Amino acid sequence: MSFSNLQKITIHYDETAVQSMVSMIKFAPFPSQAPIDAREPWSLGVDYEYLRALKNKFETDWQWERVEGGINKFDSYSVDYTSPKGDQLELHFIHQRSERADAIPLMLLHGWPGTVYDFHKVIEPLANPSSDELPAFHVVAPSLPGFFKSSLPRRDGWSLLDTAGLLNSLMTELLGYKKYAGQGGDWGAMIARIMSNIYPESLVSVHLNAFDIPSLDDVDESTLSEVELRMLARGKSINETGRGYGSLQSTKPFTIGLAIASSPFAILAYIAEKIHDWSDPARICLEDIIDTVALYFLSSSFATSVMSYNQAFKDVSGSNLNSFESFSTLEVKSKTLGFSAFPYEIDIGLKQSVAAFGNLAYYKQHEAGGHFPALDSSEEFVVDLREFFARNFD
Amino acid sequence: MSFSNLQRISIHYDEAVVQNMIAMIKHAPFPSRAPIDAKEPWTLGIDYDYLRELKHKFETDWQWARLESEINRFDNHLVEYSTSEGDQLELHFIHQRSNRADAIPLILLHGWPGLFADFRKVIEPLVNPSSPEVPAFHVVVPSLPGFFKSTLPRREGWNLFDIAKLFNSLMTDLLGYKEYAGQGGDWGSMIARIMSNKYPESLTAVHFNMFIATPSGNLSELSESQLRLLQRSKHIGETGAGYRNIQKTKPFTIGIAIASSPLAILTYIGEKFHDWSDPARVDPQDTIDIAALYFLSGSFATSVVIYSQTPKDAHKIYDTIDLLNLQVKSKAFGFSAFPYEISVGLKDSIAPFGNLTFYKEHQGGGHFPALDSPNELIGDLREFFGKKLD
Repeated sequence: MSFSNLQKITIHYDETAVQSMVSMIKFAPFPSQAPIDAREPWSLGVDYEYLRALKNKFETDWQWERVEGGINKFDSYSVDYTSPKGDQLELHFIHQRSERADAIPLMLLHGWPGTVYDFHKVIEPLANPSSDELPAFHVVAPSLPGFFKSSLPRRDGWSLLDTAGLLNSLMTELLGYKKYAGQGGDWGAMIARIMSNIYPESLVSVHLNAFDIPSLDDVDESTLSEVELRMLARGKSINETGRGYGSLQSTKPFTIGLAIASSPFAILAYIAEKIHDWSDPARICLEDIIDTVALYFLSSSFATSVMSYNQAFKDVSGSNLNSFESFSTLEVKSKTLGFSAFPYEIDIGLKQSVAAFGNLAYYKQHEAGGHFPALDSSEEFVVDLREFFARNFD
Repeated sequence: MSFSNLQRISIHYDEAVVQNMIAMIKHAPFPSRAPIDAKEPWTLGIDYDYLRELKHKFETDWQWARLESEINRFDNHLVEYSTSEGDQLELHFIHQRSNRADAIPLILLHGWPGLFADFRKVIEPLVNPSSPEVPAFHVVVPSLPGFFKSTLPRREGWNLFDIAKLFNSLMTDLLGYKEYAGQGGDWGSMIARIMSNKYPESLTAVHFNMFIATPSGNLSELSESQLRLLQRSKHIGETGAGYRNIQKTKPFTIGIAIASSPLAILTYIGEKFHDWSDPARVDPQDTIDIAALYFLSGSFATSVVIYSQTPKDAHKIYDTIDLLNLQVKSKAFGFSAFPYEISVGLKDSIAPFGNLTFYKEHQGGGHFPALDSPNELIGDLREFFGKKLD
């Protein structure tokens, strides 16, 4: 496998492309009222009024320039990659070097429906803290294959295992970080966990904000605190009424991918419900949602992004990581494991659950925040990473 | 409960609106190739090349004018309906009277992602058969509430039992058919089943092309064709139920999202029409016609609400005990088994539910037999309902 053609790039979309997107939002067929009057807001999916507010903001005061400027504050790169199996793809990643000599190499992994821009509020503080007492990091934030400017290989069968191999090679070979730290949520948490299991001598310390176990019904509730009981109830409720998208995306990715990708308003409605439902409603802001939608639409990556749900455990010859079930018992073999529990997380990691799978050296329970903590709780997120890695890296 | 303001209507959409829809199809973001190369066509959802051809046909030689005149060959109506509980809705239906004095009143019930227009190939032959020996029918084809021009009440909780009551009243009260026959597939089959259970003195003979019944009895002794039906049903259940999960839990999200783009509607339902039909018989033009009707009527978002509004538990549809155990109390109960149907109705499994006097297996055809096998469906309805006549 190999990397070639490494280039520093700037993220840019023409004014006409951006205006076309905003125009499609403006003229998208949109009903004058909700299909019916839901008994409870959000109980039948995206709230009609919330969606209307998002649409209005997108058409009026949202500016792409701010996002473009925001992402270009960081050093973006593109590189061609050929895997051991012969798969070829183009990988986009941010590589923000710290000025500090003692900086820790740190990989940040997003998920769906996130993007690398999920981390835009935390990269700078992590790379350049205000004080020398605080740890500093060389931050590497890749776009997962199929997301934003990272392409997917053509082969039907590129799995999480393949992505784990790619990202470990990115850190150790292309960037020369023989030992590194990692952080992940959503798919990022799953990939980081796989990497911690297969490459623990490289990914020596890993922090997660999401976790999977075989079944939430296995949890012993008698020892749980009040906030833990609430998290468990939330996790079960999401599993019962909030996983339809996963079922559809894992079985018919082309259908839902191509359909939703055909309209930025469709992406807005579809993604807004997830970001809202999975976040702390008191903290998530409309701008974060619209920024994400714009990145998906302008990069034409929505259809490839949902492939992850179908391909995750496919064609993994030579490994028994062939199902969610086998993944959910995977051990974290990195020297140290840290976890931050945000109450609005949907893939909950109770302390007793996470501790069973690795050397849990750090567990922080939060009172606010959700599934996208780098977006809705960026300060707490930075603090946790500094606290955990300062004491536990290498 | 009452009907008011009955009007005869023509279905019409302005040229500008139709052209706008086609322009949206033409300029919709559409990739130059499939997201990845599927190992097998159709295993990852809609086939990219099939969709590209559908899109191309829609943009080039598809004509709204043809469809509009096809639909307006029939007598379309609109009527207001309100219940004593305060629900109000507008109901669209076709009512095609036969000239024959001995014509049987017959209600035809569509499902999702079908529409009343599913039946446009069978209405005329049923109403005016070429021979007086052959049964004739007064055909009534409503649009289910939330579909096409039939609206939904605002209330969350309007469910299949409410629809069954509405349709029975349509036949007996508004149209004056004290006894009538019924036919249903998909949601239409669930509604017809409820009607046959609640109003058997009115719905005296009922025919299904889909009937939810847990396969029972000695499955190892099934005939080859029955076994194939069972296997297909299992396969669809394992790989093709995602739409149901999202529509029953997040109807607003998927409904409003897909409704915002005619290409999204074409993609989403195009996969269903292909996967649920006989691939040798499914006609792309039928798929485009239905997608256009959903888009022009602005009814896609309300159409998926039905998945979330079942009587007992909003998160289980077919598992609802009330529906699964419903007996068919109509005097006569008939079933046509088309091999590409998605939900298996084995003869021995459905027979316990009523007086099954007709069970016909076909060699071709699928979930939308009025579209992909109209002659077979017409033949079956004539045979079954004609037999029922004394």
